[in-house]
Order: sequence, then C-alpha cells, then structure tokens
Amino acid sequence: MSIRHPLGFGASVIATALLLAACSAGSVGQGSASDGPSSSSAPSPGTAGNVPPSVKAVIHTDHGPAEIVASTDAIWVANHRGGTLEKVDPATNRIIGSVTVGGELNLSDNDPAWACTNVDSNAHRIDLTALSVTSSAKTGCNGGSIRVIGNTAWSAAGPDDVGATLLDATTGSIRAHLALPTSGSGGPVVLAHGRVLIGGGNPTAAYTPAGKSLGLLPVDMTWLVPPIGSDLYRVPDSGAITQLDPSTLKPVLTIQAPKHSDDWNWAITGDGHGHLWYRPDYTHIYSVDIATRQVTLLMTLPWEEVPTGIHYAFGSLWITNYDTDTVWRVDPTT
Amino acid sequence: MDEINDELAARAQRARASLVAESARHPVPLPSSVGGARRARGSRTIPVLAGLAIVAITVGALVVSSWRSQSVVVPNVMSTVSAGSRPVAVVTDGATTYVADAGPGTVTAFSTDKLSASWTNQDATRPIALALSHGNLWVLDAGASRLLELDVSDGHVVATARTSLHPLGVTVTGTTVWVLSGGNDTLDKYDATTATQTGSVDLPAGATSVTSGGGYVWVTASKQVVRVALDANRGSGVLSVPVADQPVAVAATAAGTWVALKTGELVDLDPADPSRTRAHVATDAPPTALTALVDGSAVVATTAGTLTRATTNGQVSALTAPGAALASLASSGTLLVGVSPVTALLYATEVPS
Repeated sequence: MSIRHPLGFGASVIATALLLAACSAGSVGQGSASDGPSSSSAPSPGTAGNVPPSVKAVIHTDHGPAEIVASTDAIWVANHRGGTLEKVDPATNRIIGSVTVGGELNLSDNDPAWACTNVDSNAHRIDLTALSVTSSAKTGCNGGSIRVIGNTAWSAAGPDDVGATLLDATTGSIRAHLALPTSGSGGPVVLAHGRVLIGGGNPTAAYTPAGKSLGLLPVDMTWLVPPIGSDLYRVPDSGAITQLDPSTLKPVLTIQAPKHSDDWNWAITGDGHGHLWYRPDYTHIYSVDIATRQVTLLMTLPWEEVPTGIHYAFGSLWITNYDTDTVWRVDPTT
Repeated sequence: MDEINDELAARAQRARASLVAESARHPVPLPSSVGGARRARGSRTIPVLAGLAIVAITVGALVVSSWRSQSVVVPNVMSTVSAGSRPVAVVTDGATTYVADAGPGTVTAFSTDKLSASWTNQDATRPIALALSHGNLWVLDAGASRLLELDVSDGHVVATARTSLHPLGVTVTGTTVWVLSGGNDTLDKYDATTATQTGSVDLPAGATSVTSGGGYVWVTASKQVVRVALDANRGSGVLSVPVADQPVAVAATAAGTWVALKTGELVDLDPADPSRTRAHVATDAPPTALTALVDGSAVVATTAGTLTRATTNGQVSALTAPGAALASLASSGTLLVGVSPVTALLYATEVPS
C-alpha cells in the first residue's frame, strides 16, 4: 500500500527563497484573482484564542494550509486539504488569488509555480499570473521534493517511488529520468558549488545542472535542508544545526538547538542574513542568531494535526495553522 | 377479495386527497439562486408538479399492514411530493424527512406523515449529501466545499466547517462526522460537537460513497469496499475488500453490510469478515441507490425505476416501482424514502415488516 505523506520531507523543511515565477501560456486549471476565503484581521489576543502578541495579522485561508513560500511580490500558501494554492498580498495581508491544483497539495521548496499532489504523486506547473495549472506529470513526488534550478525543475521521488525526474521549468515537459543509485534520496535537491546534490541519503548522488551524473559523494546528506539564502545546512535529529561549506560539504559552523524527533515534523527557515527560525516539534519555534550562536524560544504554537509550515519573507515570519485554516504573520523581533 | 380491493382503493383515495391538501398548504419554495431561465420554468412548476404528484401516486401490490388515517405513507403505496428541482439526497428519522436539492441549493424538511414541507434552508450552494445526528442535520455542500450543521427544528445554521477537496459523502457515528473527500482520497473526521476536523484516514484511490453501520464506516472505491474502524487514523484501521465490479453504494446495519455493484448485483458481506459473502443476488437493472433496513435486509433502487428488497438468506422480492431511478434512499423502521433528480419528487412508502 502506498503511503501518502501529510508533508514531504523536503517540502516541510522550508527554506527562504525568493524566486520569480516564470509565466507561460495555456490553462488547464481553474483560478481566480478573487475567489476563496480572503479575510484578514488584526489579532485580538483576548478574544481570538491563543494568538501570541507577536502575531501581527491573521489571514484566513482555504482548508488545511500547510506549506508556504514566497515569490518576489507575494506569499503563496498550499492548502493541503483544500487542494488550492492561494496568493497573499504582503502589503495588505489579504488573499488576492487562488487556483485549485489537486489533492493533498505540497509546494516546491523554492518556487510556488511547482507543486506536488500527494494523492496521485503528480508534479504540477502553475502559471502564477493566470492562476492556472499548465502541466502535470507523474514524478512520484509524494514524500519527495521539488526544486527549480536554472530552467529545470528537479523532482526527487518520495519513498513510494525511486529516482528523480527532470522537467523543463517553463513548459513542464519531462526531460529525463534519473535512476538514483542510493535509496531514501527523496531530497531536498540543492545546488552546491556548481553541482546538483540530491539529499536524503548517504552517500549522496551528484549531477551537473544538465543532469549528467557526477557519481556518488561520500557524504551523509540524510538531514540536508533546502538552501537558506546562499547557505547550506544540515539539521540532524540531535538538533545540531550545521552549516556546510558548499565546496567541500564539510561543517563550518555548528549551533546546538533542541533535538527534533523524526524526519518530517520539523522545519527551519531563515532570512539569509544571520537569522534562522527553527521548529523542532509541533509547538515551538526558536530563534537562532548565527553570529552569537544563541538559541532562544520565540513562540509557542497550538498543536496541529500536521505541523505548521514556517517561512521568512517580507520582514516577517509566516506560519500556517493547519487545523484552524489560518496563516499568522509574525514579527520575529518581538 | 372485492372488499379488500375496495378498501385499498378508498385508502389510496384518502392518501391522494391528504397529499393534495398538504401540498397546497405547504408549497415547496421556488429556487431562489438560479438563473432567469430556471426561475421562469420554476414559476410554472408548482401547478405542474402538484399535478405530477397526484398522478405519481402509485398503488402497488395488495399488501395490507397497519394504516394510519392521518398519513399519506402507506404500505406498498408510493406517495410522492414535489421536492424542488434536483433532489439528490435524502435522510429520515421517521417523523421528518430531509431532502437536499442540488439545483437551487436548498435543504427542506418534510413532515413524513403528511409529506408537507416545514422549513427550507437556502445557505448551501450545491448540497449533495445529508446525515443526521443528535438532533442536528449535517449537510455536505459540494459547491462550496463546506459542511453545514443545521438545527433540525427550524433549519438554521448551527456551525460550518471547510471540507477537503471534492467532498462526496457524509455519515455520522457517535460524535464523529465523517466526510469523504474524492480529491484527496481521504475520509476526514470532524468532531460533531465543535464542527472542527480532528483527523483524516487515507483511502484507496477512486472512493465514491460512504456510509456507516455495524460499528464501522464503509466506503466504496475502485472495485473494492473499504471497512474503516471508528478509531482509524491515517493508514491504520482500514481494511480493503475486493469486489467483482465497481460498487455503486454500500449500506450497513449491525445485521449486515450490503454492496450494490454496477453490474446489477447485490452482495451481503459478513461485517465481522467482509471477505466472506453471505448472500449474492441479482437485481433487474443496474442499481442507483441502496439502504439497509433494521432487520438486515436491503432495498435497492435501479435504473429501471424499481425498488427491490433482498434478505440475508438470499430472498428477493419486488417492493414497488416508482418509475424513476432514485438517486438516494433512506429508511427508519419500516419507513422507506427516496428522491429522484429526474422527476424532482420525494417518494415515501412503508415496507412490510
């Protein structure tokens, strides 16, 4: 029996990435610039339940908001239960667009134009301007990860499938299938010193950006996370946040944070300028100052059936609340 | 024998008179949220449907059981009343029958005795399934991917909740409301007291319908029936049972679990061991709806416009022929109700015990 993952590893460990989404013609999905829930409100801690004071806005979304990433002008929320991708205007904290993609939706960790529907393990390309799905391909992405590098979308298969699929990032057409030589390599996919590494395993498969194999590197990338800014990190379950040299892949910095328990209910994001935010479990988010190596508890979250997605962009920390269909915009300095 | 015939004819006449009188006192509201063409047709619908309702009263087999003089629902006499424009789902607690009309998006409560409308709720956009629990009515609004909880006394909305992608069906066990999501292939669990989702159960691909009974929740999927334990979560507590063809509907009580197959077969599964078939009978045409009675027998509606009863020992008997394929059936005790989106009628009868 196949396993559907509430959130894929690579996608749940959300890194900061601000990418322009490419646009293309054609439309097979359905979208709207105004449909879907769009209310936003300033939080009222005394009346709106357990809303911490650092929450500056509460944005009501479709059902089961999970992963969240940013483009240059918007925040994008993948609603795992509702199957929709919603666009949030960071200037107004309101939802200004929605497109139905499909069941149990997950996002690429660096480009909202790519999403995986866990229910059928298909990778979809979304026109973020027209709000329509322009292509779909079976890549086995359920529980895996998708990352756009150059003009190629790399889809690493989850545990129900093997290998990786390379797709044209503009058209969505399949360019190649890679039969990974190691098991458990569901990603994330990262670009490090000109090489594409497919994390999640040990040893680690390396490729050129064009998809030519560079063989296996004798490094453990089991706990690799998507790049945060231009930095590469590994976060093993011991909680030792480890920055890697992208050339040698050797540790250059280690900061001890609380341990996380398994392979998918934790997340990390950052501003790319010395600050990380780390959620080791369902309910706690820690601030990590890289310069001072200080780890401090930022906030406590309500327990959710599926852990929250976190993402830093537009000067704020954005947090999805899966069970209450909301996104919190948090001022991480308070 | 002639005396019996005369008595039955007189009862049918009284039933028709009662139905006409009640229909006149409680006209079914017109659709209010549809386009101009629909409204224009709707404005002529009341007299037309009233006439249809009279004509559609069908005297079935000559079986006599208890007769309530104030009721239009009689054994093997199929009584009908206009139920909007496209009724697709029905549930009943015996005293009241609730109908979801996917056309204008209404839910209407009918007094079962007289088939008269007592209230209509217009908050849904495309209600497609109903379930009753603890004095409240759960409405699955596929048009807005929402679950509505209505107060059965007057139909006002008590609570709402979002559903997952492409909701297909709803059922209730205890304080848990189960919603089948066709877009996610999940069975989502909601707390009936708070109307909040509390979990999800992963299902095989192609799930189409859901019901509950006999201590389990049952789902039809692609060539299989899925038994879901009440404490199931994610992939646990789920048992898939292959069946010979695409299942159309499943109905369950503590006494038996019936599955209607697209090919026109009715299969009775052992609830304790669903891989074991206890009865296997053929219907006269492909099935369209199914309900289980308290004695463990099942009533199936077919595309031929018939209603057939099957018992756990494999006996089959024709109940009556409404003449239209019913999209949904429900029962309470010996009361049997159904709706047809083709005729836009609610049908009611009593099944001989």
